[in-house]
Amino acid sequence: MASKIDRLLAEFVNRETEMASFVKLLDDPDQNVFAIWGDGGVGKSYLMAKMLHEVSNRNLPRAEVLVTNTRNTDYLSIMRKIRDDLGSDQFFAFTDMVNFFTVPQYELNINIEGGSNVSVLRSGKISGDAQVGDVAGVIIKDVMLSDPRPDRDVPDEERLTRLTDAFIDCLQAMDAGGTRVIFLDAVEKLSDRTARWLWEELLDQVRANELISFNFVVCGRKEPSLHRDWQDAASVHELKSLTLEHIKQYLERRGVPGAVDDVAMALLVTSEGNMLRLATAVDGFLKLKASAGQ
Amino acid sequence: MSNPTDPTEVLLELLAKLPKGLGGSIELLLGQMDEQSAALTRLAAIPHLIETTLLRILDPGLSQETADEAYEQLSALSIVVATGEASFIHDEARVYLLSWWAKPERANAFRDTNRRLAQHFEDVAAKSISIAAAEANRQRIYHAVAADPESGFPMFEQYCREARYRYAFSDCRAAISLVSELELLLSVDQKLALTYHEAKLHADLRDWEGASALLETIANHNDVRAELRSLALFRLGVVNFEQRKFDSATGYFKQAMQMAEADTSLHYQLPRIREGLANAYRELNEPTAAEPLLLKSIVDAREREDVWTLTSVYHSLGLLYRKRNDTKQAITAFNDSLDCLRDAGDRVREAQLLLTLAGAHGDLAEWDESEKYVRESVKLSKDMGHTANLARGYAEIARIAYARSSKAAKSKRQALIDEAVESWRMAERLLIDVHDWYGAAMIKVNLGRTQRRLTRIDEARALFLGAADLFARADEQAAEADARARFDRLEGEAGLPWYVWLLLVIGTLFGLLMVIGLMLE
Repeated sequence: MASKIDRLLAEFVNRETEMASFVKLLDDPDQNVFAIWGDGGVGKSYLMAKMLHEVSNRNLPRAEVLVTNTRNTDYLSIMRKIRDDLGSDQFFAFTDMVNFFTVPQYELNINIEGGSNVSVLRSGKISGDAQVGDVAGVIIKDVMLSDPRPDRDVPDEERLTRLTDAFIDCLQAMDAGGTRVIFLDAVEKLSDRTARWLWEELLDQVRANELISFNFVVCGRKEPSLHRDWQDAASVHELKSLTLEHIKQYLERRGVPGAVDDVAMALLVTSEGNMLRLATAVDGFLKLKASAGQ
Repeated sequence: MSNPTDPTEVLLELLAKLPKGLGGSIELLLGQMDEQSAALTRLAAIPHLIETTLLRILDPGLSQETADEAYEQLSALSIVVATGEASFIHDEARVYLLSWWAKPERANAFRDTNRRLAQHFEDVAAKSISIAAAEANRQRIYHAVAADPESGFPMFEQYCREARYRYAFSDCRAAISLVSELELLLSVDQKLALTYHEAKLHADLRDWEGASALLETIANHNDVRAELRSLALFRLGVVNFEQRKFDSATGYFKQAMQMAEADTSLHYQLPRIREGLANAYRELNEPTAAEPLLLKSIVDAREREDVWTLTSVYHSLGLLYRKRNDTKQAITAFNDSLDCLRDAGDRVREAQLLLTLAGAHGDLAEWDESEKYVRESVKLSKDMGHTANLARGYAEIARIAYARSSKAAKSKRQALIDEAVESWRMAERLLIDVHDWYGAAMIKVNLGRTQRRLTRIDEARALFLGAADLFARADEQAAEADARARFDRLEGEAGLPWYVWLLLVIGTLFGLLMVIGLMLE
């Protein structure tokens, strides 16, 4: 039996313009951020599934972050998820820093070479705790705590800055390794602070051409409010409702032949072109047909 | 209808009758399911996830096998989102289905289901660790509030307080987001309390505008209870104070004080309110209004043995005296605050207070005492990993060294100046490390001015230019312009020191006079 995702891809209609833009973005080194927005149920997640499929077909490494109300989706959890999806073995320095800020009595293991900043924390001069280690020989596992460690008192702003810097350093070290795509869905659920961090700290590195091989797809209900500096770096698309033609195509793909025009028109009125409403109504119709023996 | 059994015609008839929108589509779908499947679909909207285990809690009559089948059937529905990690009902569908559950005739069933879910997540939390445990705990609280807001809501409030105490602000926000979904079930008082927790979170994260908007909603609400209104007014005072709107802050503190004084059950708030008001008066240069408020707060806090309030009020008293140039009294007050802080064990605030004491002794040119406190603060800040405090410590070391250099013997002067410059540079590096561009730029400006006084013009110019770039990064246009102006003013001074120019001018004049003299002869 086909998986749900296979079924969704087979039923997919419309959004040719957006998919063409997305494919173009994958090949364009100057544009790395793809933002889609629209009302709830309009089909953002459907489109994202299609994009994921495209990325999978091209064998490109990818990461998926879905923001939910049950999880604590802050900057740290976003970076952790991206790290885990792309391969945590490329993020030991970041993980070391995460443990440093969350695990009591933890001492930094990695002395990161290079960089123009005198990073007192990384070199261990500030605390005298850090030990110089050979990065190649060190494996760091995330203890997966999230509270700040109680035996230190580093301000949240400082933790955010240092962790983000460590994370971006790791991404930059991977930058020569080919295109990678990072998907973020339901970003309207992020706190204002995390949303600011996403655009002004993480994605700004992409805008400034500091992360050339990384593409970001950001999906949410609100139009991102972008400074004009973003003009060339980001492609922003509002998803509009489906038309009658789209609905007819959809019905055919879901196996609803015959009397399509009447049904399509009635569904257009009921759903107002909203993908979720349409799909749910068609679910009901197919059950109705099944119980009628058709 | 030509053929009443034709599915297409049945569908058209149903669509014509059902309301527009997702609710209509969902009712159409549920109407085609058997009773048990339809009931389970509605139940599946109550938790945030769809899992076989949860389905058996939603419908305890399900066996493992039927639960597995039900899960497969649910997952196939368009209203169910299936990701690699979990399945859940789409937000829009969940909102509709929860509104169905909010009807009074379903209250008992809704309550019982949530009780079972609360118990389930309590068991999960007990067996989990770290992030998984935190997530399960929040879901436990959500379902406990949904089952019985009267008993569940205090659990939520306790969770928020504990999360904020641990500086786990994201956890607190996640809990607020969850409980906000249950607004339909909450009383007016609980909704306002929820808003208050959200406001405190905004304030903790220094989002003053966000905090203000929420606190105003509470303070202006017709049905808010006195305690909450007074707390909201006090917080509005604090938020305005932090934004340097001292007149507004005073107004809010006075309103809060009026309420708290009139109600004995609110007297516990008075020490902090008085302190807030006193601080606002201090900033408005009204010390005579400020001092009695602080002294009264100290008496109250001592009676209650409230160490935290004593710490804060003594500190405020010290700031007041220092502003009045009564530095010795300020030092006494700061030391009283320090004693209380050490009892309370707050090491970061201790490090900050040590710097304040260092500054006060510096005002009296008591450099040995000043340095002692700074060194202690620097050590604490290193232990705590508080880079901004550490940077301030190094800036203070620089100030002391530079001040000492002006009185020092010639043989020691250069070493002290070098120490000052190196300490400033260290402070600047630390601030850059934590992206405090403005703080780092200010250090550069101070260092530039020092280099200028030492006639190291080229170094001064480089520093002012560097400061201008950092101010630009911090989006501080006025400060950037000032730094560039300082740079421009030094342009003409680049190259030879002033006395060399003077000698050249004198020499030139002397030469001219010689020539004129010879010509006259």
